[in-house]
Amino acid sequence: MLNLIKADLYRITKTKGFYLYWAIVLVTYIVNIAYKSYGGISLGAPLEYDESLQIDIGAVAMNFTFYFLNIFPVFSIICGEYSEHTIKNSISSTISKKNFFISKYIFTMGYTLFSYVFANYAYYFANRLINGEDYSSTFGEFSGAFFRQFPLMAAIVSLFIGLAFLLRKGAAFNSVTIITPIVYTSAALALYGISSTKKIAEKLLTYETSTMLSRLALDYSSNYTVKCFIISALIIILSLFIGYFSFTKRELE
Amino acid sequence: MTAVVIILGIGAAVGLALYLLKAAEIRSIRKQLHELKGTDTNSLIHSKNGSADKLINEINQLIKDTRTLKIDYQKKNHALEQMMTNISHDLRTPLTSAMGYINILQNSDISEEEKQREIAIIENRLIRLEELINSFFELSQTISSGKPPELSQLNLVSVLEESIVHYYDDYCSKNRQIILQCNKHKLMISSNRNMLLRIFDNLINNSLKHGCGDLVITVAEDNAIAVEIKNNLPSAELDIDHIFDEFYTTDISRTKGNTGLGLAIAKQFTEILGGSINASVCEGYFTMTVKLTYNKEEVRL
Amino acid sequence: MHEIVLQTNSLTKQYGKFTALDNANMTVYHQDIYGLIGKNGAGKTTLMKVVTGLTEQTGGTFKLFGKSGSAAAKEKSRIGCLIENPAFFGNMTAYQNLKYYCLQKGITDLSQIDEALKLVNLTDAKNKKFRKFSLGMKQRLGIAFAILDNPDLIILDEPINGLDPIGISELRDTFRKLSQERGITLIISSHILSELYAVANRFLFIDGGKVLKEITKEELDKECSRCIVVTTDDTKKAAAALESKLNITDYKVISETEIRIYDENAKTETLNKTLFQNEINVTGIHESGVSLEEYFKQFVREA
Repeated sequence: MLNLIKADLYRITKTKGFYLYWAIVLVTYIVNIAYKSYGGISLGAPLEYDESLQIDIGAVAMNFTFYFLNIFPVFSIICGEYSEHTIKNSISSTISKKNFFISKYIFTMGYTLFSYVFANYAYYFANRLINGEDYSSTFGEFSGAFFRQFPLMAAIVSLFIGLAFLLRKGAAFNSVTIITPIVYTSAALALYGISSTKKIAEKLLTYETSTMLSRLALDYSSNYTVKCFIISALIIILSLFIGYFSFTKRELE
Repeated sequence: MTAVVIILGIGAAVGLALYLLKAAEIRSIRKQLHELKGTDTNSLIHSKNGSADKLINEINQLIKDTRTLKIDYQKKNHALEQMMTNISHDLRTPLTSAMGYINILQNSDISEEEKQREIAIIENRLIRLEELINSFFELSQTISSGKPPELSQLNLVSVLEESIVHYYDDYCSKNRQIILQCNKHKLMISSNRNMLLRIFDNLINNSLKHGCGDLVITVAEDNAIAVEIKNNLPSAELDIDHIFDEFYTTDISRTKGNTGLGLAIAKQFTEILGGSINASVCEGYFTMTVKLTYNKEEVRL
Repeated sequence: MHEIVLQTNSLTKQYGKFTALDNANMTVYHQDIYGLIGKNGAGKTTLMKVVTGLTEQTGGTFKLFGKSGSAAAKEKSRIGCLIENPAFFGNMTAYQNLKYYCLQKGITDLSQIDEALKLVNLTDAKNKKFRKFSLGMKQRLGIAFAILDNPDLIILDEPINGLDPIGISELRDTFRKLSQERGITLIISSHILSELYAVANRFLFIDGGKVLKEITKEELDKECSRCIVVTTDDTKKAAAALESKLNITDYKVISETEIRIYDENAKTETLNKTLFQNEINVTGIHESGVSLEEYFKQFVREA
C-alpha cells in the first residue's frame, strides 16, 4: 500500500492540476497579503465581521476556495485512473481491489489535507512576516479557527473521493462537484421565498458549505460547532461506504 | 522550554516511525526470500516501503547471478548430453562400416584385387575414426588443461600456405579454387605453430565440406592481423550464433560424416592464442574472420 | 518440467443473462506458449480477466501456480499482463509510466525499465509522451509493462493488433526467447490462428464462451495435414482392412462413418480397390487438406 502511495506521489507532480492548484493558492494569498483583504469565494450570506477581525482569520473564513481547489487532486488521482483505464494494470498484477481503494483513499485524503494545512500555515507566516503583527492574529487564535474548520474540509474531500469512485467519469465528477453547491444555494433561496418553507430554507442556508466554513472559523458557539462536527463525521462514513462498495462491487470497465 | 519538548517529541516520533518502517521492510525481505527459495520463479525481492532499497538491490543482483549460473549450467549440461549422443553416433558410423567390410573379407571368396580394395576402405574408415578420436581428445585436453601454449616467432603467411597446400588437391577435385590475397610474404607473429595450423586447417576444411564456389582467403594487417575466409553458401539455413558451439551441425551436414568439432576447436585455439574468431553471412557469402593480435614493433625488429 | 501453471475447472462468467464464459476447462503447463483462438467476443478476454482477478467468476474454480482462491490472488505478482487495450497515462512519457508502476510494485532497480523498453524496441521513444504513441508503439509499451517485473506467466490479449509485419516477427522472436531463455509461460490470444501458429505450442479454440478444443501443435499439424478421407458405413472393418491388408497405421477414425488416412504412401485407387475387395461399402473417398483458417472456421461452424 505504501508503494501505491509513493507511486501516486510521483505521478501527481506530472499532472496539470498540481500546478494549477498551487498557482491559484499563490495568487489568492498574494492578493490577500498585498491588499490586506479577505478575498476568496462565498456562496452563503455575506460575512458578518467587526473591525477587530484580523485578515488571516478572515482568510480562513473564506477557505471555501479550497472546496474548488480540492477537486483538482481528487480528479487527477482517481478520475485519471478511470479515464485512462489504468486501474486494470494495478489490479491485474499488483494489488487487490480492497487495498487499491484503501491506498487511494488514504493518499487522496492525506495529500489534499496536507496541502490545505501547508497552504494555510504558509500564508499565516508569510502574512505575519510581511504585514507585521498588527495585521495578524496569534498562532493559537489562527490554529483554533483553522482546526475548527478542518473536520468539515476532511468531510468534503472524503465526499469527493466517494463521488469519484461512484461517478468514474471525470466530466461527471467535475460537473457534480462544481454545480452542487450552487444548486444547493439556489434551491434554498427559492424555498426562502415561499412562506411555508421559509423555516426549512433558513436551516438549509445555515448548513450551507461556505457558510459552515465561515461560521466555524469565526463562531465560537460550541453548539453549532458540535453540530457541524457530527455532520462531517456522517459525511465521511457515508462517502466511505459509497466509494468502497461502488468500487469493489462493480465491474471494472 | 515547551518548544524544546515539542521538537524532541517530534524527533522521537520520526525516529520511531523510521525504525518501524525498517523493521517491517526487513521482515518482508526475509519472508520473500523464504518464498523464493521454495519456488521455481523469475521473481525478485520487492520493496514494501522503500526503507532498504539498496539492500534489496544487492540481494536481487545476487539472485540474478545465481539464476544465470543455473541457466548456463543447464545449457552446458544439455549440450553435454547432446554431445554424448553425437559422439557415439560419429564414432559408430566408420566403425560399423569397417566391421561390415571385415565380415565380407572373412566370409567370402573374393579375388586378391578386391581384397586389397576393401582393406583400403577399411583403412580409410579407421583413419577417419582415429581423426575423430584425436580431435575429440585434443578439444577436451585444451578445455581441461588450461595451460598456456608454447609460443615462438613464426611466419603466419607460411603457416597459412602450408594449410592451403594440404587441401589444394581436395579443392581441385571439386573444381574449386583457393585464392590467397596477401601483399606480404612474411608476417612474423609470436604464436604456436601447431595450433595455428590446426585453426587454418579446420576453417579451410569446413569450407570444403559445407561451402561451394571458390575460397577466398584475405590477410589484412592493421592493429591486429585479420585472416578472412570467404566462400559461397549453398543453403541459407545456418544458425550463425551457434556455429562455434561444440557439435553444432545443421541437419544436412549430419549425413556427410562430420564431427561438428572443427569450428569449436578453431575457436578454442584462437582464444587460447589471444585472438578472436567470428562468422557472418552476407548476400550469400559466408565469411569467417580470425583476428590475431601482434606487436608491430616486434615485426619491424 | 511439466508443472501446471494454470488450470481452470468449469470456469463460468455471466453478465446478467449473457454467458461470456461457459464451463471452460483448460490446462497450461510450464514454459508453454499457449494460444487462445476465438472470434471477437468469444470469451478470450473474459477468461483472462477472471484469471487476473479483474472480474470474478460466477461459477467454477481455477488454480494458479497450484494455488486456488485467495492464495491464488497472492500469486498475482508473478503474472504480467496486457488485457484489452494498453492503458497508460497520456500526459506521461513511456519511462514515467513504467516508473509509476515500478513504484507501485516495489521494484527497486529502475534499470529494469530500460531493459523492458529495449526488449520491445522502444528505447528511442523512452521520453515520448504516451499520448503521441502510434497504435503499435502503445501495444509494445503494454508488452514492456507485462515483462517489467520478471514474471513467470505472461498473459497477452491480442498483442499483435496494430503491429506491422516486421514488428510481428520481432515480437514472435521475443516470445520464443522469453519462453526458452527465462522459462516464462505465455498465454496469448488472437482471432487469427495463423498468427499464433508460428509461435505457440498449444492451442485452445473458444467460441461463444465455450471451449471447443484444446490441442497441441503436433495434433493440429496432423489435423490440418493432407489426408485421404474415406466415408464408409463400417469403420471398424475398414480400419482392420487398412492395417492388415495395406499396412497403414497412420490413420484416425473421425466419426462412425469417416476415416482419415495420413499415410503419405497411401493411394486413393489402391485404397478403394482393397476396401472393395474386402467387401466394405465405401460411400466416398477423396483427398483433402485444410488450411489452418479453414480448419478453424470449420470448427466454429460445427459447434
